[in-house]
Amino acid sequence: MLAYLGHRLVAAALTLTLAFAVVFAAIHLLPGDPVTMLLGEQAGADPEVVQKMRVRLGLDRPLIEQFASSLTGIATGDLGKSLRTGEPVFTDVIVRLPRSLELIAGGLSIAVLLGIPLGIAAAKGRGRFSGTAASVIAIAGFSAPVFVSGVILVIVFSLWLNLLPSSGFVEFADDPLMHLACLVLPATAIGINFMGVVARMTRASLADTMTKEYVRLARAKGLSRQAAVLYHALPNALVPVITIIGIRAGSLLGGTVIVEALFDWPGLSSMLVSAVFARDYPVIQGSLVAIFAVFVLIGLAIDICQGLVDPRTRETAA
Amino acid sequence: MKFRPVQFVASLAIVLACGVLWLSSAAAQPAPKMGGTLRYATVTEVASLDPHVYVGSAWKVLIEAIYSPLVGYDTKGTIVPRIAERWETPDAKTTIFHLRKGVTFHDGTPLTAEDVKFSLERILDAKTGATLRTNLAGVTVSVTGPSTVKVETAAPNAALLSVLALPEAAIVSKKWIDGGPNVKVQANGTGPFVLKAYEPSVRAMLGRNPNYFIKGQPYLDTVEFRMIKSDDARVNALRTNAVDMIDFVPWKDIDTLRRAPNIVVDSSGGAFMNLWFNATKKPYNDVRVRQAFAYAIDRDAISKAAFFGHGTPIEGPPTASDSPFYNKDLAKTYKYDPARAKALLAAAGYPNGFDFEFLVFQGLGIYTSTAQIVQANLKDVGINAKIQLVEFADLLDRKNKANYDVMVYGVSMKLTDPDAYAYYLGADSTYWAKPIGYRDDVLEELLSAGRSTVDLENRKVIYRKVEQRVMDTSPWVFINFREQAQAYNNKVRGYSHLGGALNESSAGISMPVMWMQ
Repeated sequence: MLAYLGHRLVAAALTLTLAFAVVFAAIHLLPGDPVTMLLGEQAGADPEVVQKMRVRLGLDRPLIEQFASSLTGIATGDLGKSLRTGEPVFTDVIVRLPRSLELIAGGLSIAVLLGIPLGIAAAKGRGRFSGTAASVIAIAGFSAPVFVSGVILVIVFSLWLNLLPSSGFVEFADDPLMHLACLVLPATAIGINFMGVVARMTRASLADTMTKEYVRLARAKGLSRQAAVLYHALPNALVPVITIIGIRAGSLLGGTVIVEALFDWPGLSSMLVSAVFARDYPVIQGSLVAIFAVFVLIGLAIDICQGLVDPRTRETAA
Repeated sequence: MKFRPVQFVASLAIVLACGVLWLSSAAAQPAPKMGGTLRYATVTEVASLDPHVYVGSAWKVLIEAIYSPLVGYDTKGTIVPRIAERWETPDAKTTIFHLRKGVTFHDGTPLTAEDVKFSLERILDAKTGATLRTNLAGVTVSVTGPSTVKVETAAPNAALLSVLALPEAAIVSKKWIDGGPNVKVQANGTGPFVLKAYEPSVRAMLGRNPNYFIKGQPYLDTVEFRMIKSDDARVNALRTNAVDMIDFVPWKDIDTLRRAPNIVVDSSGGAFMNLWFNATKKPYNDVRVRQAFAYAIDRDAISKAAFFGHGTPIEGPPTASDSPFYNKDLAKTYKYDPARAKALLAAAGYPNGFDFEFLVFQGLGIYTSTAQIVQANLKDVGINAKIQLVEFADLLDRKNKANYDVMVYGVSMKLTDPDAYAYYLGADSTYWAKPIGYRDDVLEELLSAGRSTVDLENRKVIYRKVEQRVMDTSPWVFINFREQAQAYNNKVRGYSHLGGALNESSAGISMPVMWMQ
């Protein structure tokens, strides 16, 4: 297991470096100049002022030099300083990343809590009303894009029923209840969308495993239908579902942009978008490196999870 | 004197009536309540608190609350003392400011004349990137006493006070700045509020300054800024009472919010939309072509479609009708007249029109809607506009590199003083003219004369000539005023919504005298 992990980590580091090179090239190819954006309409067009600011921010160095210093910085944990605020990007990432992860964790939890039972119901009720109903609910979930389900949630729970805040964020330490109240709607928006995927995947996988021989053997040995599905069919059915969740969860990190904008949730995605518009290169690079790192870690976690759920993975990998 | 019953009763009645009226008016005018928190949601994500570098409208409100310039504006738009308690102008090029005694910065350091000199010189230093650097070019500052500062300009400048009243001319502490703090995320001013917490682009928390130099102010204990870029999220936050006040009410929501029972919407023109020409490039260097554009635009349609009726057309110069410099006879210069536009194009040598690339900012619906209507209008006179949607960074880049034909640009009014024309159209202004090398010598002379004339009546005459010249040469096409609205719930009191150049600052100017009922 340890050697397996070691290999994965080295591969991850190489992927990260390559990804960073692509990102660096891409953002410097974008038209638009961060210094002009910083200085605004008036000062930004005065060449003398622009040049002085460029030197001050280190943007006048040749690109290769900037790339090299950024890369070595990342290796030592120094993600540079934001061009707009002058504060270390690392601090910003450390503050903002957990907020996005919280949204994803909340969304995933809701998706799994709702999606797996829905999937089970759909599989067990195949061909009957209960199965079709469960399927329809699942499809409705992922058919509506997250900004549609998000807006509907705001209208129903915030504007009409006045149960939950329509947007905003409070630190958990300052007001735990309010923090959770602000988390519910955005997490649900993400969750409903993802629930459909989980449900469909569970249904398909379970429908397949339920016909396997070992399930029939379990029934023949005297287990109730319920117990056979729960203890024998379901764990095997969940293996591909976990894989799918893992793959999609990583992409959720980039996809929280819309939810964060809609619900004014100050996470990593909204910081990234705002940095792109302002051409704040260090923040763009730093945020993307953080996202890649999370992706890689999620991939590792999924592999470990699979190892735990399915003993066969452990044996073949080792 | 003989006692006259009728007269006695009559006078008694009058006195009693006056008494009742006075009492009821006092009751109708609730006295400001001390304390309370205002929750204010803004569209601008303020990323830097450097008081000399403008970042957006919410930035202006924050800086106005935390810092003080030498002079400022009151809720009626008049220039009033701030750090300077009085000033005199011994000659047209000199102003001597006498500073208030006992003013301290939020960290306790007393304010001295040295701080004023330091602040103005920081603005003039190219390294700072200060917004007012060109406005204050040629200014020299000297300390002539422990509380007196002499400001001298290279030439007489009637607009000097209006520039020094802007929040971008904030006075900072020399001792504090020399200590090397990150001015973008920390603040130390003399304003009515102290910065308590700040997360760039997310939120800011201000607390009352107990040592503010105007006794009795501010009324509020705390002001919480939440930066909510999404229009719908911001409006919903007000609707669900998560915030008390919002800025930049989307035009589509102005009327619907007005109808909500406990919400007040104040709206007035604060910016104006224009077509900018690359006026040194063919065919836009021909006045007739520019004038043809001006006649071809249906401004009413734009006001209705893009601004939901909240965008008064500008058919003359962009001066508000209540300004002392308003010229009524110029107000209808460019009424919608496609036939005349065609004739002008033909005279300029383009009887069949021409094609061009129309640069449009993609981020706001008002820009794209305006562009589409303009495109349709121009098609009617034979000109084919190909719309190119760009991001703001890209737009600025192309403007500064003179790499464009025509663009839609929204201009927020910069100064209450008509010297703003020098900023908009002056040849040395990096705003529009310098990047493309535009220079109109007649206009330059008039602008220079207007700036150095101090007498109001003489200035009116000169600026009328300026406006006539701008109409004749049409370097920009003025389209319409953009109403900028703020909305708040009916617990918020003391807010005065100003129009024109002070529109952006309205919340900042009112904040020391706002309270929560």
